[in-house]
Amino acid sequence: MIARAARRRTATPPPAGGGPVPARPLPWLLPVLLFVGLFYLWPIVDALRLAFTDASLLDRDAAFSTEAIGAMLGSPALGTVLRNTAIFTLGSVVGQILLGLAIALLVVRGERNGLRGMLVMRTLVLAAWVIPGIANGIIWQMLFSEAPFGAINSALRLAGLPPVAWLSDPGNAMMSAIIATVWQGTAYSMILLYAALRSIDDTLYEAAAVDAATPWERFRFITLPELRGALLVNAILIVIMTLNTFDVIISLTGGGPGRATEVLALFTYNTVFYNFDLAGGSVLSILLMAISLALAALVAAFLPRAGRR
Amino acid sequence: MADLVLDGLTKSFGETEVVHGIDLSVAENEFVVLVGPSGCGKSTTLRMVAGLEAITGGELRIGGRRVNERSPGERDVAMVFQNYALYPHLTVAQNIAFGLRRKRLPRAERNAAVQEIARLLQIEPLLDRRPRALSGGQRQRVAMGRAIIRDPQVFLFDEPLSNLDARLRVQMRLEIKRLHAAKPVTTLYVTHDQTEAMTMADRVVVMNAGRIEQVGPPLEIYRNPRTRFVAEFIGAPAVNLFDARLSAGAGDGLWIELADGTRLSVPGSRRAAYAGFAGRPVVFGLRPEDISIGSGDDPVAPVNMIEPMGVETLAYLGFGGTEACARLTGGHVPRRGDRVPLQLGLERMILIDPATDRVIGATSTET
Repeated sequence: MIARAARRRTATPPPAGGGPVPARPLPWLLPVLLFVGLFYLWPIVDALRLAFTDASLLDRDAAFSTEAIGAMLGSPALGTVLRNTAIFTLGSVVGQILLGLAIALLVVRGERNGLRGMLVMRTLVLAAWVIPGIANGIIWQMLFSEAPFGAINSALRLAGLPPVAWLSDPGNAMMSAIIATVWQGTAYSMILLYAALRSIDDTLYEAAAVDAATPWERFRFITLPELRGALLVNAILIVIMTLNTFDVIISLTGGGPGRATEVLALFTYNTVFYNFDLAGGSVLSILLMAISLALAALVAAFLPRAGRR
Repeated sequence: MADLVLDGLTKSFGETEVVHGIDLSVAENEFVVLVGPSGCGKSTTLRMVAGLEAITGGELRIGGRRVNERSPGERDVAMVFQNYALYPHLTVAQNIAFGLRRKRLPRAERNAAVQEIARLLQIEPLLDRRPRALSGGQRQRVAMGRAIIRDPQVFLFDEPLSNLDARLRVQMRLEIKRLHAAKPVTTLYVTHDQTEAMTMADRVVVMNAGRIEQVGPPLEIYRNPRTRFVAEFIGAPAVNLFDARLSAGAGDGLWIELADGTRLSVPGSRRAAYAGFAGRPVVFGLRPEDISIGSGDDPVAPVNMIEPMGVETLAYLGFGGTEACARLTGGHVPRRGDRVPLQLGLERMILIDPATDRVIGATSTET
């Protein structure tokens, strides 16, 4: 047995980067296939099935119907919700990347110059990310509160500025939701970009310094191109995470005022758990998945390929 | 073009001083090589000249102007790094042209300059490639091109050949030297390889433990080392050193007595310098090429090992209570196990005072 295996190994060299391929790979793959199938694939298939029914949360006896698809895609609210989702996602993603990059640059620069407290700074920023979304929404609700004790408005008053209707004004509510999301999500971008920044060869900056490059040129000709891969991966991940955000919003504004901050994920949640429309919710979640996939594919198209960077 | 003066440069990291006062002046267009073992402070010294390390003490002058407080970009120096440090996403042409940004040249003029450098370095076919697609030797040329095109006051090299394989190293060594002859620039070159130092330098600076041991033209350093460290560091294979005793003989005769009892007569020209050390322990040094096969009444030594190198043969001989290396050229090559008479070129011997590790009677020409 052993001798035979050894002979086979010498006859066909193992593929690079791994051991010999077992003759029957399926049993070895079975656990992960089961796991992925049960927890990832099956829910998607089931949502797809439900989308073609008239299922509701109260009535489990569902019959085939395309009514839910028509109703949801034709819903007058959907346009507003999609627009909200686009603004929310764009604002949050851009904000998280820019702020994350800025903090990562600061931390790396601080470390390079031996500034103390950089580890504390990194930990503090990361702490925001560890907070659950619901809690984050509640924290920002208190900060944005328009009551006399609202933290931000109190500070504005101390500075002699008029208070801002952070959550009650439909025009401001989206901005407030984006601020809360950016505050929480920045840590993720910061850590990812920090790691990428740390891996840039220091001598590139030294060569640039000797070549009299300005800080902007160093950023433009070294940092940015070297970060390209990390920025794109980061963008894909946080676009998907942000598209699926509803916890911060539900605890901060509940989607209001009106539908001013109702994004697709929240709209889906409301459809299922307030309107008990399971079929409609399934249609919306398939739509959400399709949008996520499309955006991810778009960003992935710009990813540097191996060997061509 | 300008001269470069290091006036008592020191460098401390926290409490620890790693460079203890370097005094060196590099004349206009001179090629000076800093050589020493790793950790001797040579790279730190170079980086202080470049402005990549802050200068703790002393003064650095380029073209007579103090530049301690100037940023690297304001010093008008160009540097070639050990790992080349090419900008990975720029093409070879863009990398080379990078140093020209400041000059605001018209495009045609800039391209012409890049072309000229590429021709000089024989990298014209590579101009559109990215550094990733180049071999080590090609990257090295691009890095030099990026430095040369700026026409700097001072050229700095930080172990530029260390990442190349042996054959390429020899070739690039020659090319850098040729380039310097064609376009002379004040140059400070750091290496740990004494062969590089010997072959390329107008003057060699041997450093050890943050201090300069000796400065001089390569052959002078080789022939007249001032310290034991320089004698041992420069030359491959290394100088043979023997523990010995100096004793006075009849008249004004002086004898070197080796550990195995061999007695060698000090040549007349050296007696005056050595006389004061009579009766004291000394370290006797002789380079491998100063040991050759002699005749009848010379001391006899067994051949322990032979290394044929082609044009010469290295013979390891049991001699003086230890093993000595002899560099034999031409005709008769002994075999392992032979016993051969040795002829010693004592007029080129060195004698080291073991108390100070300084070479006795060395003429101190400069610091």
